[in-house]
Amino acid sequence: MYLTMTKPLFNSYFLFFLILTAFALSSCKKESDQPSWDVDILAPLISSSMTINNLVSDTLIKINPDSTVNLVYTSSLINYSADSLAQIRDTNLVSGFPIFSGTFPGGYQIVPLTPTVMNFQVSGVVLKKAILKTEFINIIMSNPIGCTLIFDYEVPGATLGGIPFRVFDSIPGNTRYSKTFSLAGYSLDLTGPGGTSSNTMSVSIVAYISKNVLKYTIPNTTALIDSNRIYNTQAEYVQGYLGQSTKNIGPQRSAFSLFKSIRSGILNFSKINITLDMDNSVGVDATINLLKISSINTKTGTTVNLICPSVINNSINVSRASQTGNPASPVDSTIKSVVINSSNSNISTQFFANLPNQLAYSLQVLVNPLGNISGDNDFIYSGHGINANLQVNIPLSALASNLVLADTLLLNLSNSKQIQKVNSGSLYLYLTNGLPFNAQVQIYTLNNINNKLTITDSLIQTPNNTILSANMAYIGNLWKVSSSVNSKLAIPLTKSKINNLVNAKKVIVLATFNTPAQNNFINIYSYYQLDFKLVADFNYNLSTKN
Amino acid sequence: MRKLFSISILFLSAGLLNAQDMRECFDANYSDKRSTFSINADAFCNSNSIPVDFVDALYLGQNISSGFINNVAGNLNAENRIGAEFNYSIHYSYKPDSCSRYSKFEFFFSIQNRTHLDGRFSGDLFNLVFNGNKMFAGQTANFDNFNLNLLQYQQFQIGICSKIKAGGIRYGIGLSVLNGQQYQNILAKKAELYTSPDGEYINFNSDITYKQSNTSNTNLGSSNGAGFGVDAFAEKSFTIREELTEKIKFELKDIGMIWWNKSSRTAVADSLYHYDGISVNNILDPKNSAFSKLNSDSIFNKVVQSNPGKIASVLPGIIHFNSVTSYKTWQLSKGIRYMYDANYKLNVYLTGNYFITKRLMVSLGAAYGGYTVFSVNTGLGADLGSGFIVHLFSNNIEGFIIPQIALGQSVSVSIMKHF
Repeated sequence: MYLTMTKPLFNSYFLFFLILTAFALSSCKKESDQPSWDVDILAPLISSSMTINNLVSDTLIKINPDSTVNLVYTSSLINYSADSLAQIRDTNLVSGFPIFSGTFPGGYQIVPLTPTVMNFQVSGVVLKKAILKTEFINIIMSNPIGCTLIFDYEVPGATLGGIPFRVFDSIPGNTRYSKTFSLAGYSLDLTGPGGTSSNTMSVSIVAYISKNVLKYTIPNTTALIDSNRIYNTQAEYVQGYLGQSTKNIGPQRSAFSLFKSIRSGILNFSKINITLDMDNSVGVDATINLLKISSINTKTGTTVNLICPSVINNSINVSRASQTGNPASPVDSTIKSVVINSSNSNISTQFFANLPNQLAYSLQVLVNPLGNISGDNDFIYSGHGINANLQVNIPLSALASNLVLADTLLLNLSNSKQIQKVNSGSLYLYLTNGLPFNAQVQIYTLNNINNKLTITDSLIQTPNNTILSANMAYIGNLWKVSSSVNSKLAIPLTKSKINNLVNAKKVIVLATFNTPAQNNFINIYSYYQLDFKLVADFNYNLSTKN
Repeated sequence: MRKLFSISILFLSAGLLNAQDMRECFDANYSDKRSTFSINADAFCNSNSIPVDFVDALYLGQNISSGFINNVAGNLNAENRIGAEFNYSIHYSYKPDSCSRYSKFEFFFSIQNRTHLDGRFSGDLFNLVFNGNKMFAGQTANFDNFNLNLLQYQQFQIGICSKIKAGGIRYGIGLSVLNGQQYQNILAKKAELYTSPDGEYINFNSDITYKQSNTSNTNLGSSNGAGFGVDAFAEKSFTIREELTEKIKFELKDIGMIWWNKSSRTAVADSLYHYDGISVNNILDPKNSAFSKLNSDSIFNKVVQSNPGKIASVLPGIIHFNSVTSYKTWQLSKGIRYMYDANYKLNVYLTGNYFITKRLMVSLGAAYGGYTVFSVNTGLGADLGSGFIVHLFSNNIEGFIIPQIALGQSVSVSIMKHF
C-alpha cells in the first residue's frame, strides 16, 4: 500500500535534498592551498674535489714538471712611461711677411720666399728628430689687401714619405684664413734651417696676386700676418738628448694577496726567492735606487723592513736600450735582475714570516745620471719605459703550525623557502683528504645586532670538527702522501641554528691547519686533492606546492 | 507494474551504474511525457588501501601528521589501487508520438564533463613519498608497475534506442564526439631507488614512460585533442509469474579513444642513474652558486629524455552485466562490471530497492571489488510531482560514516524534469 505524498511532505523531502546537496558541496571546499607532511630525507647535495688550484688563485700557481707547485707572485714597483721625458707642449708662432707696394698685374709675387723658424716648447731636452703619432697645425693668415691672394705654405722639415708638408690655397681680399691640418705620421727634422740646431722647425711662405685680377695697386707697404699653432702633439718616436732627471716613487703600499686569508699561526717555507727585475726599454741610462721595502701585516699591526745591503739603498745601474732597426720590434731592452734570498737578506726569517698582506716601498729612478754621453742620440719609442717588478717565487714546500685561515662569504638565505622547511636533522660533510695537512674547521654565522656584525652561532658540531691529514710515507727521500684519510663532520640543523643561518648576513669559514708531525717541510703536489660530499639527513616539511 | 519497471535510456552514459538504475525507477509515473531533461553530477574516490580521511586531508590541503601516515602505511597491500571520477552533465531525451514513423525509438542528447583518475602503486612508493627515503637507507625501494592515469575530457553525445516491447529485446546506442582537455599517464615497468646507508649516493633504476598532453593549456574546455566514444546496450525482460519479473541487461560504455595533439610529450627514463650530489667544480668560488643548481628539474633532466609529439589514449571503458528482479514494491539488482585499462578489479554488487510509496524509494546494497574492497551503497529517490524527480545515491556510504577506516566515498545527485 502506497502512502500518498502530500504537499508538506514534498516540501520536507525537497528541503532534505537541498541540505544534503549543500553539505556535499561544502565538504568539497578546500581548507588551504596544498597539503603538507614531514618526510625524512637522506640524500647527497653536493660533491666536489679541491686541489691546490682551488685553494690558491690560478694566477699565483706554477706547476713544475715534477708536479711540485710554486707560488709565484708579481708586484709592480715601477711602471715609468718614458713619454713623459720628452713631452712637446702646444706651440704658437706668429710671423709677419712684408707685402710690396705698387701696382701689380695678376699672378705677380708680392711676398717673396721668406723662411722663418718655429721653436718648440720643450724643457730640459734637446730634440733632434720626432715621428708624430698625433699632431695638428692650425694655420691662420690675414690678407690686408683688397684682392685675393694665392699662397704657398711649406714646412720643409716635416715630411711624410719624403714629401714636405705643404699648403697651397687662396685668401679672398681683406679676409682671415684659418684651417687645421693633421701631421700624424710626419717625421719632423727639428735641427732647424742649418741642420745644427734643435727643438726648431723652419716654415716658408710665398704669396701672389690672384691670376684672376688684371691689375691691382697696393698703395703702402704692408704685411701678411701668419699665426701658426701646433697642438696635441704625441710622438711615436723622439731622438735627442732627453736630459737628466730624477723620479721619486713612493712611499706607497700595494696589496699582497698571497697570504691574505691567513689570520695567525706559523707558516714556514723551505725556500723563498725574490727577484727584482728591471727592464729599461728607453735609450737613456737609468739608475734605480730601492730606498726601502717593508712587509706589513695589518691584522697583527707588524711591519718588517727588508734587510738586504746589496739591494736596499744601493744604486743599480740599468744601461740604455738599443735600437734594432726592425720597425716591428724597434727596441732591444736592457734587463737586469737582482736576487734577494735567505742568504743575502732576512726574507725567510722575518720578512715573509710576518705573513704580510701589504708591501710598502719607496724608490728613486735617475735618468741620464752621467749627462749627455750619447751625443744627442737618446731615444724614446712611445709605450716604452722603465719598469721594475718584484717577483716572489715560493716552492710550495711548507711547514704549518696552527695556521689559521679565514674567509668571509656573503650569505642570503632569507628568501630560501626550502631551508626554512627543514624541521630538524643534520648535514654531514664526508671528506677524503689527500692533502698533507689536517684542518680544524668551523663555520660561524654573522648577523647585524645593534648595527654591528656579531657572531650568532657556530655550525659544525664539536669536538669532531677536524679534517684528518692524509697518511704520509717517506718515499724517494721525500715525505709524500701515501693514502687518503676519511673524515666526517656534522652540521646539526636545529630550529635555532636554521634560524641563525637564515638570518645570517655573512658566514666566516675558519680553518686551522697543521702539517703532520714529522717536523719536515712537506711538498705540495698538484695532484693532491681533497674530495668531499655534503649529505642531507633531515626531516623536511614537504608540500605539493614546493 | 510493468511500467514501473520499464527503463529509460536517459542515464545510459551517466555516472554510477547503480545510481543509474535508481534514476529510472519513477519513469513509469510519466510514461505519457515525451521529453525529459536532467542535470546530473557524480563523484567518487575509492582505494583498496587508502582510507577516506587520508584522501580528504590531501584534498583539503591539511598538514598530515607522521602518525596518520604511519597508520595508513601499516595497512597497505603489496599492490594498492586508487580511482576517482568527477562527472557532471545535462541530458535531454525525446520520444516521438505513436503517429510518427520513428515511434518505435527514443532519441537522446547529452553534454558531459568527465574527469577520471586511477593508479596503482607499491607500499614502498607510498612510504617514499610520505615518509621520505631515509627509511630505505641501505635498502632498495621498489615501485615497479607504478601506474597513474589522469584523463579530462568533454563529451557530446547523441543516441537512439528502441522502445520496450513485452518479451522483446531492447537495444540502444550512443555516439560521442570527445574534446580532450588533459591527459597524463605514467607507467613504470621498472622503478627502484637504492639509498646508500650513509646517504652518500642514490641509485635510480628505471624503465618509466610518462605521457602528457599540453600542460600549458588545461583549463575547462581547453582543446588539446579529439576522439570518439561509443555506448551500447541490450536488455530483455521476462515475466516469471504474476508480479515477479526479471530483466537482464548487457552494456558497453565509454568504448573509444582520444588522439592528443603535437604539443603533447612523451618522456622516457630507461637507465640506471647514479646520483652522488651536484658536482661543483670549485666550491670556494662564490660565482659557482652551487646551491642554485640544487633543484629537481636539473636532476629530472639528467634522467629523462623527453620528446614532443602526438599521443593516443584509450578511454577507461566499462563492461557491465546486470539483472533486476522485481516483485511488488521490491527490486533486487545484481550485477558485475569491469573497467578495462584503468587498474580496476572486477566489481560484483547486490542492491535492494524498496518503494515506500509510488513516489518515494530507498535502496541499500553491497559491493565487492572495483577500486576498493567492500562497499555499502544506499540511495533515495523521490518523485516530487509535476514531473520533477530527484535522486541522491552513494556507492560508498561507509565513507561518510566511518571515514577513518572506510576506503571509498561517493555521491551521485540528479534532478530530472519530465514534460
